[in-house]
Parts: sequence; structure tokens; C-alpha cells
Amino acid sequence: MIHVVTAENRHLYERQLDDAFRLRHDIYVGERKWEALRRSDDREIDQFDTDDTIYHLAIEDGQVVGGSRFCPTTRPHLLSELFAHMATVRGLPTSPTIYEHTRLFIRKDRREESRKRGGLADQMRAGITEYCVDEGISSITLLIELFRMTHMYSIGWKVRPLGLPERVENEFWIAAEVPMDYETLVNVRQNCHIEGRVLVHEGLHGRRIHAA
Amino acid sequence: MTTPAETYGRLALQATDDFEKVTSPAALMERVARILGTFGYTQFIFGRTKVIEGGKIVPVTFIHGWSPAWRKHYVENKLFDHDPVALQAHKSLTPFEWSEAPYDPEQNPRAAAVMNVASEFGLRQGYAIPIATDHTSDVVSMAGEQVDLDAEAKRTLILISYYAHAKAIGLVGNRPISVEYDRVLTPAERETMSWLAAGKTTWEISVILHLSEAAIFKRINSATRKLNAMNRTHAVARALITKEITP
Repeated sequence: MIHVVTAENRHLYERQLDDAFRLRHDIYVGERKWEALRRSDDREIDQFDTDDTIYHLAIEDGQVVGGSRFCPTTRPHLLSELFAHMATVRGLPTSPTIYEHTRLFIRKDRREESRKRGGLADQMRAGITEYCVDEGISSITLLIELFRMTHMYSIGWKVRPLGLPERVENEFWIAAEVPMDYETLVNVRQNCHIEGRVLVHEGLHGRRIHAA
Repeated sequence: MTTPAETYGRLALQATDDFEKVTSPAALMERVARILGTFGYTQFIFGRTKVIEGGKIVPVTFIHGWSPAWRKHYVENKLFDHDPVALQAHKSLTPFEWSEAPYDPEQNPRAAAVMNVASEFGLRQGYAIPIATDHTSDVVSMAGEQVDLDAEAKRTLILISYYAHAKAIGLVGNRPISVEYDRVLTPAERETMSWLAAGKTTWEISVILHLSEAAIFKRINSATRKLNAMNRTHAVARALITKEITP
């Protein structure tokens, strides 16, 4: 199950959130070698992990096996502060109903099997879509390797580029926007063979995150 | 002032928006051909390879826009087995110009032969963009007589190719399909034939395009030959029928 963690229910997930930051460090610094993110306390936390940040934590048997985060585009976020140059053609979308989605990770030992249809990766993407529809988030912005776009498209996400691809190390990356709506959710669930909801809202009281 | 990057960027994003609306593989290929044509590419392919028993790599083309003559030659002579572009596309996901596909002409004369004969068929300069999917190893490969590629153009082509490829899979799934898109005219020839189809004389076209009459004659003759037409009137008819130009 994928747990939604916000400022409201964070106190219920302190340990798991800490595990998530440690896993982010293991993966982004340890595996991917993004040295700029290295911290002496072995937790990957940056200036965009704030009280406004919303986390999705995939938890199995009490252990965090995957996660991601949403940052409001009405506040400083990764794309606006560090990568705005990648969105100069279409311009960076900012709005109370648009959230930036970043730092998606899956624990190493679960990665291989997470790739199968209906596996953890699909569930997380279904969860992201479900969350957006629940909360009235009209689209998410992303910074992704171009090669991921193919898979995202195949599950039903209509990835719209915001600029030309940029070469970073050995990969091409793009800034993109993915519209979220009920039709997308239906398509994603169908394409990923997922029936029903995947999100858990523990200690959250149905509050919408944007002014409706 | 618009920078080249912004111009290319707009072109790329326009193209990807355009692809979104397409509902048939033929329409998608028509749009892809048109965009690639503006860069100077006259032919392209969405190729796929799979590994069969014994580890041999075989081609499973899923959408092609090679000229019929080239395709026939390639298939009959099993050029895939020695094609350095196909090999490189399988080895690495980095986009590359055909001239960058490595082979040693002394150790591997058959590879050299493939590149030489491609040149003879008008595929003198090419660009290949490998794309991996969950289960296959694909490539969007394009070629033309004369192409000038700068860094911005490459980024644009890469983005367009990824989108066209994703859309193609959405439209045809995993079934191999032969959608023939045979463009034989260069953009310059197409432009000239379009004016002819509109009823302009050679002289009028030369004025419109700011070229000499001789240059216009050259384009018309070249187009007539490529379209296997008897004369320019016949050429216009053939260009319309084969959708090289639209009314």
C-alpha cells in the first residue's frame, strides 16, 4: 500500500520518512553517484523537502520499499530554482493546482520485480495519478530521463515536454508536464492491471490541498 | 529576438502536440515525414530488433519509410547482417550519426559496402536514435542526400523521434506493421512541384523562389525522373497521387 504523508499526519510516519531519506541517499548518492546531494548524515534531504511537501511512501511489512514527493509549484521547487532553463520553450507551469513530482525511488532489492505489469512501479504511478485526481491536481511537472518517457506513455501518462532535451552526463533529460484527470486514472489502472485504490490516507481528514 | 534554440524548440513542441492528435499510423508517418523533410531527411524507419534462439539478432521492422528500391535491395541482400548502423543501435542508446557507426573498412569490407550502397540510393547522411522499450530494442533512423545537423537540430530530432515512436507503439502496439511511406522528392523539389501544380510557369516559379530558371528546370527534371514520369504534367499528377505534394 502507498501511504500519503503530509504535514498533517507526519507525526505518524517519522520513522518511515527517515528511512525514505536514507534510501534516497543510498540510491541517488550511492547508486547514481549524484555527489551534489551527498550529506554527512546519510539522508538525502534538500531545500524542497519542506512542510508543504507531500510524500508517497510504499510500505510493506512496516518497511519502506519505495517513495516519491510532490512540491507545490507556487513555492520554489526544483524546476523553478535549478532547472528553469529546461522549460524555456513552453515556460514553466506554476499554479495552485500544479505540483512538481520528483525523487521517485524503489529500494534496490525490489527493483527487478517491481518492473512487471501491476508491480510496485505501476502501483506507484497509479498512486500518483489517484492522488492527483483525489486532490484536484490538474497536472504534475517532472524532470526525467528521456528514455523514461516511452514507458510513461505506455501506461497512459501523456507526457508533454516543456523544452528541448538536455544532455546531462550520459543521458538526455527533459522537463515535462503530465496532465492528470479521471480519464488518465482509468487508463493507467487498465494499462497497469490495477484494480481499485492503492493509496492509504492515515490520519488525514479529506482536506483538499488547494483552494477549490 | 528568437534564438535558434527557441525556434527548434517550438518546432519540436509543435510536432509533439501534432502527434497527439493523430489517429492512424499512416497519418503519423505523414507528419513524421514532413518534419524530417524540413531537416533534409527523405527516408526513415522505425526499426525493431529481437534476439532469437542462438543469440542472433534479427530485424522486425515495425514502420518503415524507406524507398521501395532501397528496401528491396536491403532485404534481398540481407544487408542487416552487416549494417554497422543497425549494430551500433543495438549496442548503445546514445543517438549517433551514421558516419559515427564504427567499423573497420579493412577488417569489415561488407560493412563498408552497406554504407556505400546506401549512399548510392540517396542515403548519404543519416542519424539514428536508439530507443529501448520494456521488451524490445528499437531505433528511429533517418537519412537523406544532404543534411546539416547542429546540436540544436539533433536535440529537436531526438525529442520528435521519441514522441513519434511512443505514439507509433500506441497506434500499432507490438504488431510489426509495414506502413509504407515513400518520399522520393527533396523538400526543394516538392516545393517546386507544388508551384507547378498551382499552375505557375517555370519563369514565375523562379521569381517566386528567387532562383534562376535553370535551377527550377533542374528541380523539375530531377522530380520528373524520380517519379518515373513522362513529362512535367505527368510528374505533377504522380506527385499528387503519391502524396508527395498536396493540392
